[in-house]
Amino acid sequence: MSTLVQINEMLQKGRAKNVEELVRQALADGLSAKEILNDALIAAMMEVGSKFKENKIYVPEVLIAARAMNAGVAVLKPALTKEGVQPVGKAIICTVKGDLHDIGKNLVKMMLEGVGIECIDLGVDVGGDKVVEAVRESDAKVVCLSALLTTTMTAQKDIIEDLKAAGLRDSVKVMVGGAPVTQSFADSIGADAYTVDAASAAEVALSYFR
Amino acid sequence: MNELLYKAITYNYPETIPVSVGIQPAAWIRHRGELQRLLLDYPQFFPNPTFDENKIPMSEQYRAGTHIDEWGCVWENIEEGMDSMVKGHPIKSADDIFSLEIPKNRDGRLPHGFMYLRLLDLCGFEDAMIYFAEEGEEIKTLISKVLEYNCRQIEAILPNIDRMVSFGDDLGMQNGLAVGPERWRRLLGPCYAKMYSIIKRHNPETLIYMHTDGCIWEIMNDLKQCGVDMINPQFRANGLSNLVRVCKGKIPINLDLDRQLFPFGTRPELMDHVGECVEALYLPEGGLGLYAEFNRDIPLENMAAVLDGLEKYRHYK
Repeated sequence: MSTLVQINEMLQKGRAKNVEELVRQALADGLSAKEILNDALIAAMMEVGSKFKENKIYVPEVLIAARAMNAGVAVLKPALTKEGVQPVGKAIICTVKGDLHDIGKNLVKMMLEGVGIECIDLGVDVGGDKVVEAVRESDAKVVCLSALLTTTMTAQKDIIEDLKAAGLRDSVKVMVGGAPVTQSFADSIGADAYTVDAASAAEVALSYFR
Repeated sequence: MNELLYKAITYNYPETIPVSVGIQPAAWIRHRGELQRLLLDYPQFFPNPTFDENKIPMSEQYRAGTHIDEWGCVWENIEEGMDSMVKGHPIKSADDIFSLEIPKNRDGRLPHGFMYLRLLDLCGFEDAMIYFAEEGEEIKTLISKVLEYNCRQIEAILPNIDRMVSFGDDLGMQNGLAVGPERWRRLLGPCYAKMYSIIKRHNPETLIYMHTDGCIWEIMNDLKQCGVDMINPQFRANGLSNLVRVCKGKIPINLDLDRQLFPFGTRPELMDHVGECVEALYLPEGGLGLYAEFNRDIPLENMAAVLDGLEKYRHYK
């Protein structure tokens, strides 16, 4: 079994220490950091995302897989820098104003990072001014807005309006999600995408960078 | 507990479907006297809607600011009248689990989120999920400590128990159980069974009512096996077809109508929503109650539409 296949298997099982060791071994064997990242780590996380979406695995398995991914990436980082490997792209992510819930946001962030997207996490209770500033200061192409409550989901619309007012709406794709959010709500506020779960969010976000 | 609800839980042919309405403090803060005037039009649901401008009913949970509970969890709320949430978790590492002290109070206080959510509140969601994944001594010790506290608290309320005891713990996320049904059955189901058995041993006739948000239809039968006599599940998270398949004629439910539709639906949509649920779930012998919760984002006319729907369909035969 190749080292890349072993990394993939260990990552899906959430074995962080094994992943670290195998990534070191793969580098020592002369594999490129880019190859290890794309063909083992990201490939494994995409598989994890698919299984999560199909209810074959659950949040605990996703979290230990993400932890193993982070462990592997940490080992890989110097080599990635040396090879000049860039992330797939950048996304800004936050929970909207008035809402302190962060579980859904963090799951989406984990999935985005799992497919190689760098996330700028603005945290919770975030208003349009902060999102506008983050879009201006970064080269992020995607903005992900989370809301758990019917009382706060309308803040997703406010942020889209703020992006329009700042002349930045066309420079980013806006994705919305959260328990009360629906496709029709997303359409009504002019979002580019709504997804029902974190794994689907990562798939859609990835499509914007291809 | 009202007689209709009792008859519904025990499949004893309630004359009408029992209805209950919860009004969040934030709704009172927004609508104030106008809300009271609306409720006066529905004495069948609100026999005595007293509203005092200076005394909106609100527990600490709904106060703006920060408070710390008996376990050391730090609750934050940025808006008066809305629900607080835990943002400070006392367990920072696995070692903290083993040194965690069970609170000393024996006052019977078992707030919403007393078992499963308590584990998350103590550790934080992500760390708790990691402990669940590992299924090692950490999660077992943590569960055991929370369970021990809860059992003592239940024992403290036994002398005061009436015909029914209510519990609340949000077990589901929007699409399912975070930990999955099998792991829930292994690690958490036995906890609920143990806690509820204390009540049933004390008095087998005592009914147990359990509220839980989220998609939980996969474990509703397990909850029944644990001793729950009526579940308060959410419409949208579970889906009407799942609720019909799993519950109708088998597990009494007090259906939490679609809170996520209430702020945005038209009057016909809101009334139809109540009708759709009743037509799908009604049985003359019972097993069904209807629950509506109003928050501050629901316009008064939408509340009126829901209440009119409840009045119309509670007489359904």
